[in-house]
Amino acid sequence: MQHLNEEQLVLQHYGDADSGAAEHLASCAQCSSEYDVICRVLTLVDGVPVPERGAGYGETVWSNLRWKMDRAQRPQRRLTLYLAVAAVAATAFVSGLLWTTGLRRHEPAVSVAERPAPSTQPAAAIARTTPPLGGDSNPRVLLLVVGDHLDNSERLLIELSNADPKGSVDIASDRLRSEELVAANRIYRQTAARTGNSRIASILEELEPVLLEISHAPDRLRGAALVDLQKRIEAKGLLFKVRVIGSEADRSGSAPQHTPTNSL
Amino acid sequence: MGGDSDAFRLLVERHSRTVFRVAYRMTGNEHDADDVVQETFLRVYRQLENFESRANFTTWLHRIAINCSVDLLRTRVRHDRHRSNDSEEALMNGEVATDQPHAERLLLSSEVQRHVSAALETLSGNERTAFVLRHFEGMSIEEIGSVLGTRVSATKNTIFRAVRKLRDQLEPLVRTTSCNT
Repeated sequence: MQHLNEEQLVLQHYGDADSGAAEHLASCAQCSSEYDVICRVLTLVDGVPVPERGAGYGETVWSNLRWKMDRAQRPQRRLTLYLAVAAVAATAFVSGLLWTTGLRRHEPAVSVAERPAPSTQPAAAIARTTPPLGGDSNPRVLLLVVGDHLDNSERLLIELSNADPKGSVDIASDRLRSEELVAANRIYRQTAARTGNSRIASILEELEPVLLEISHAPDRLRGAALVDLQKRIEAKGLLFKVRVIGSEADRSGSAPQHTPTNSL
Repeated sequence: MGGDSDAFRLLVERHSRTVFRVAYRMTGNEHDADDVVQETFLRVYRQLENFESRANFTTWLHRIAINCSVDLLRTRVRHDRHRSNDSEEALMNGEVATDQPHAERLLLSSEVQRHVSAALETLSGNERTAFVLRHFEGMSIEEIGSVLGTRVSATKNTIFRAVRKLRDQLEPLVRTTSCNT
């Protein structure tokens, strides 16, 4: 085999090379030495630390972001208002003009009291068709995060469902993941109920006790305890429901913004 | 904003630290990275209706964070150029001595970090993006291509170019470090 070039060595470092590259490296001192240099350079790059941001960082970001979001919306609201006012004024002007022209052509004089009022329908139409600016009726963000949440929950449930009950299974990391999922699940469930997404609220309600049970389980599960947990997951087709509702949420979350709230 | 706001808050809380990490790798500056995090989520909020595929949400978020980082880097180009010149000068001054007492080794460590930062700053925007996403974030070539809007082969070439540049500048420094892979 020919010597490996630099690109193949870089691919090998990131695990993207084919198996032939590893075999060659094992038997070729020249390539191995070259590879070693690349590894050292890339290891050196790892030495630059990233400052730690604590668990409360997201909260800090949110509190700073909130008023910016509000401020960002304000000009949009003002613009919408200006457009609506301008549309009403223009409609009133054109209606008035047409009515006056028609009056001059065909009609004898009509008293002001009998004249039809300028239509207010365009303004109403504008109000109906203008999408809410981030109001409660927009479920997109909720669908987005719930879809993500259900994907994560599904992965966790699949892992535990497929664990071999014959041996002892270390679920310490699953337990931690489950703790986070429980906290998120609670908020999503409440938000879904409040915004009228009853199907999502319902699946989250079914999911919560199972996640809670996993989060309270010991770090190592064996035999009967694991089988019990697997039965809980299988009961009522929970995994299937999570998958179905999760993919529905995914689709709705990806759809254009005007998806009706109760479309799920 | 009601329920919408609650959900967006969770999104922010869940992804802030990841976005910060990417932003810091891109900008090399803590305060800039904080600004990028804010700007990223603000853009996400404004552009949420343009988001088409939820399955690639993380990729989309990364793309916005990278764009914010690149925008910020552009605004401080003059300052960076000045600092980069200083760093390059330091790099040109040759290899770093190795057999030093502990206190000096600490200095050496920060010196090496400075050299690495300077080397990273010589990468173009695309090279740095591709390298950060592959090396630090472990994203696949395809995902990086999606962020950069480039094909697989072009993405690979961008990563190769980045590694080549880093190697050219850092190889003199690595003679005493060990490879853990």
